[in-house]
Amino acid sequence: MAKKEPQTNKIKMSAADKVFHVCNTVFLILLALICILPIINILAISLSSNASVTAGLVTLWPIDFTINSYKYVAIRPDFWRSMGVSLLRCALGVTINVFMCVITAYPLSKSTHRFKARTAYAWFFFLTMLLNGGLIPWFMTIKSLKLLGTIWALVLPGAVPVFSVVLMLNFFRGIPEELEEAAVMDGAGQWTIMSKIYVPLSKASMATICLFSIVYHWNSWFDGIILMNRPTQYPLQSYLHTIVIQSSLTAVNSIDWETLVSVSDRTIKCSQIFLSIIPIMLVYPFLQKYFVKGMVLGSVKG
Amino acid sequence: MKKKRVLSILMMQSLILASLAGCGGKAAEDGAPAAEAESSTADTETDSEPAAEETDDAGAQDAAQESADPFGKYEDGLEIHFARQVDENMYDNALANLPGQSVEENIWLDTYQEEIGVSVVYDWYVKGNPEYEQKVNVTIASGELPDVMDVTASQMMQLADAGLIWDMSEVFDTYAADFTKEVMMQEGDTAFVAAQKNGMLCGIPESSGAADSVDLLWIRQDWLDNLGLEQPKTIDELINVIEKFTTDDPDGNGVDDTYGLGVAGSPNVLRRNYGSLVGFFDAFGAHPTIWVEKDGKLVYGGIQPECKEALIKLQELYQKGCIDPEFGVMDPSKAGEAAAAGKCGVTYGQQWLPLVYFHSNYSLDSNAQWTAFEPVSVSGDPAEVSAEVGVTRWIVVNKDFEHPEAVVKMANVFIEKCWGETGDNGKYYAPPEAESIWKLSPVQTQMPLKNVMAFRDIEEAKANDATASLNGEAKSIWDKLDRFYSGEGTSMEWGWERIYGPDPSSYSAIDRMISEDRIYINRFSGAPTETMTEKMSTLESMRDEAFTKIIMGESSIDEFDAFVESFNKLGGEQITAEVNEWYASAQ
Amino acid sequence: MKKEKMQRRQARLKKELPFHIMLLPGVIMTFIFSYVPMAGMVIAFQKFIPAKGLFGEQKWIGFENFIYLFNMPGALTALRNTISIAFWKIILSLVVPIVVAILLNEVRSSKFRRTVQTAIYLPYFMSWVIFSGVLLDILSPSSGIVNRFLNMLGMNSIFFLGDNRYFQSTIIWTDIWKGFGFGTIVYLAAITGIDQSLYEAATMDGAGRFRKMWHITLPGMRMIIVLMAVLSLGNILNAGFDQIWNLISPQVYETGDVIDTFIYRIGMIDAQFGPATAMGVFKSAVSCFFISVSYYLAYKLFDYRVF
Repeated sequence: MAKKEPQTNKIKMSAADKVFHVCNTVFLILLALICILPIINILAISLSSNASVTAGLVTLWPIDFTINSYKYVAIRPDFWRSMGVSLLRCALGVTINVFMCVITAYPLSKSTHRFKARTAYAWFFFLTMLLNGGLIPWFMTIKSLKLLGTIWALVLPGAVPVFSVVLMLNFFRGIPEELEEAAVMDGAGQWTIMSKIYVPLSKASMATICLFSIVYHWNSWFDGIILMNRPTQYPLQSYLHTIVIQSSLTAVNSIDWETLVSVSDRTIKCSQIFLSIIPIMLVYPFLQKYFVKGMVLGSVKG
Repeated sequence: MKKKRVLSILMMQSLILASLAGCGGKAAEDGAPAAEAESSTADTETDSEPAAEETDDAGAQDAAQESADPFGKYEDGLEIHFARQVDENMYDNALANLPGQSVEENIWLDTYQEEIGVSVVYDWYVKGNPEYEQKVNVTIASGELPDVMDVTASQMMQLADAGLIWDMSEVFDTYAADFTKEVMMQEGDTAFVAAQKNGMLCGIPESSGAADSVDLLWIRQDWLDNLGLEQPKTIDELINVIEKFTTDDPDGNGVDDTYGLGVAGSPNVLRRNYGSLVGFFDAFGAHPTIWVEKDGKLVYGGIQPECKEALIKLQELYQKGCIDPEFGVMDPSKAGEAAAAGKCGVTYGQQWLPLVYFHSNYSLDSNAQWTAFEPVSVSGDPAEVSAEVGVTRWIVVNKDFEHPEAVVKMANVFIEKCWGETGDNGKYYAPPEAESIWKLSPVQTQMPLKNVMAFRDIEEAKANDATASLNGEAKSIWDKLDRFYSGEGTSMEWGWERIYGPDPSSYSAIDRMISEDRIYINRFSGAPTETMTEKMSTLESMRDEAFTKIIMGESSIDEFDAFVESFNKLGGEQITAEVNEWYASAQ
Repeated sequence: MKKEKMQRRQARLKKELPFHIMLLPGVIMTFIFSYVPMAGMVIAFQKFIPAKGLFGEQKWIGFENFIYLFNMPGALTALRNTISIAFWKIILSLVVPIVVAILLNEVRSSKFRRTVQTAIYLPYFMSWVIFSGVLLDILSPSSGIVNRFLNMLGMNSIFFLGDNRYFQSTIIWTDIWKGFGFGTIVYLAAITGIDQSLYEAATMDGAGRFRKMWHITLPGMRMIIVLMAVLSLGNILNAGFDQIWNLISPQVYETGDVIDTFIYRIGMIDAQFGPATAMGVFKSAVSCFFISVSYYLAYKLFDYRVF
């Protein structure tokens, strides 16, 4: 389409078209700006002096430029330790998610006459998206498995990401059955077919579920706070949560004001927030290449 | 009155215990009470109360039979599993400057080990207050409690109902050192009363000051001077000041960009943080956050007609543009930006505000002179100021743990080391390089009046020219004041001077209120009643919504009566009855 | 005859065995971490006292928690808010990204397109904790840039997060803001998958830009739109806890309190686990209903099996 369009435009680049293109471009630029503003805001605050930030003077440009907050964060062991926990969590979590997702989605992608029990299984997984027993039983389950305070408590409970499974099985469905039939003729087993034919064909979709998984693991905070036994075990977002939320902590307790003093520094908060977005932004370009195709391959089937 | 009552109960008990101890034989070993406790715990699970009492007697008897040394050392060592909350401040103001120390390995834990042979093990610890309370809820529900932890009043009552925690009354009475008792009851025994249920003392209060929590009236003295205004003495004078601050360009920059009164409305206007209105209500004799006594009965302050008067005035102020129209969504730190930016000249809030919001104002504009006054009243007489019970957490001990007295001993050690004659406040409580070192202790029974006492010490030392002899916290505060006076200080030292400096300052105001007995502490100090646990937070949300809407003029003042009616209908009446039941029993 | 059936069944079993094995790990994990905790739903029917433990001697009270719940003034408000917020979020989270994707597809410079794409996707990566902090800032009626802009246009400041007239739409639009970039990329991908010859043929027939969008682009995205719609219908009662929890204040409970924030408040903060779980059970039941309906409709109308 991109190739074809210059020609069409030459044929009928009417005034209306020109207006459309200008408006469209302006609109999209505005849209893009709106989306970048929050990050610029955070960056500006992180590079300003605390006094000007507390006075609400900073919006998009640093005032009293300083990198003190970054210096402060640089020597904070908690921040980097949490960053490490988060990276480890992502690595483990994504690996497990993708593996579970593939081996679960593959059988479910078979039609009912190929795999009779698929519908029952599908409901089994799907129901979990709708029902949950609440926090306490969930916590007790994890506790009785002796996972509390370990990284496994963060990655195992969400091991089977049902939403991704649904996407993945739709991708798989889009792959022509003839490929599988041919492989069966050659005597290949289901495991081989899955790993040698389906998986290589779904790189794009795998990138998609990878991305979901990364975002999920990188951004969750609640489970870290409830399931970890030490702040030193917190993943980054849990750590950030304690910092960002505590600042709005409105303490009646006379002891707590001391905490307020030490967390009221928004510049330090924002520099940590900014640093925390960086890793995930770095991953994105690598995945984007596949991602663009990935989402739809299966669903636009035949 | 009430204080005497409980003290006398405690004394009575010790007398009985002493006589019991006299009759009984001596069981010297530590093992004996343990065995007793275990066997009786089994009973308590099935039928709670009578058995519980038996256990208490048994435990107490044994406790008394031992040599009840408040500082007795466990020669074989004793491991206690704790759960606790940590905070940012502990890292920034203590651990960051204490190389080699950590939450799990530090001077305080060493001290407990050396002094009484207790080694502290943390099952878990959490950063942040709401996070801690949630994790405690989850832990309680999941059934595996640590030996000792801090809980809120309602968590404590749940645990007591389920028979999962020790009755601490005898244990405390026997093992708490006299000085410990003196310190913990400095502001009365309300926190102990709050922990009592059917004669059982469910937990030991993590004592802290109620007087520190009162709202003060903060005004920018330099703005008063700019406009040639006097320090207001009545609420009408104050309203005049607020209006002038709004309209008369107090900062002299030629732009109409100031608000008179700083108010923070999220989550409500009664947080006692920056932008609180509790002090404003106090002026009218309205205490909307606490239970007050009227005609011998307790009533909820938030539904009293006095509130209506305060709300009318606030609504007027809002209509005149003296309050930022967006106050409803601003939490204290957001609202505080106005003060920091020099756009606001009057607010209410606790004694520490200069260290959090005002110091930013000062560092941008060194003329800014935020000054603490006592809240004014309608008549011009000094106002009676409301305060919450200072304690929000109690230490409870797991019934399965065999040495509840160890916790009391730890409290003895904490208090003795921090404020006792043999202690060293400058080493254990607040050394200048690590002011929050006391937070490293798992037991934090504070001396409630320590701040006022530090203020008095400083004043006295200054009068006698003996500031060099100050010690501990008073010294580290004085050092800051001194740095400020000698011109070396930063905006933080300025903040400390605003708090502990000579009159008018935060503590000069609080000191006066304490000595003139004008602090009205919440008359209800019992544990939350059943309906209260269920419905109070909903009712408080209703109050917050009604107040905010009335101030903003979205509802007329008549809405207040509608609120009172639905408050009573939706559980308020029931709660009031329960509260008075408690009050009658506590008289 | 019977033997033959047996044999066939055996053959089938043999053929399907690898599938069962593949599913085994997932089934085990899901069973442990999702189904075992579901036993906790019993709390909804108990006068649950946490200290007694989940399997302790709790008092059974039937539907009392539900009755109590729906007598609470906040519960029905929360339900109403949830449905209206979720409804608009679902509609807009479909429409907005589709429109943007189509517009983006009209852009000729691929460099520009990629830049815009990357930019609008950025907020998706931020957690709500962070994004809310930013929103509070820029939507502030006095100092926020949005209102400063409105003032420049001669309009009065709008109290986006504190005014019941605006709170819901603020919640809805900020959610779209954070998420539309993600959707856009999905739809853009669908558009690139459309057969180019269709456009060429249409151009030959003299179809204009908008006719091509309507008759080729949109139908070409049909399947992915159905998929996204069906998946989002399951969220009819998830109005977005993380977002609302961070932006709500008491004076907008009337329009902003949703089921999840309500559950959290009465459950985790007030420790009323019974009513909180009851609300959760109720929510699950309603969700089940909606998801079944949408699944059925997708199958009947589009012959599309979601899973």
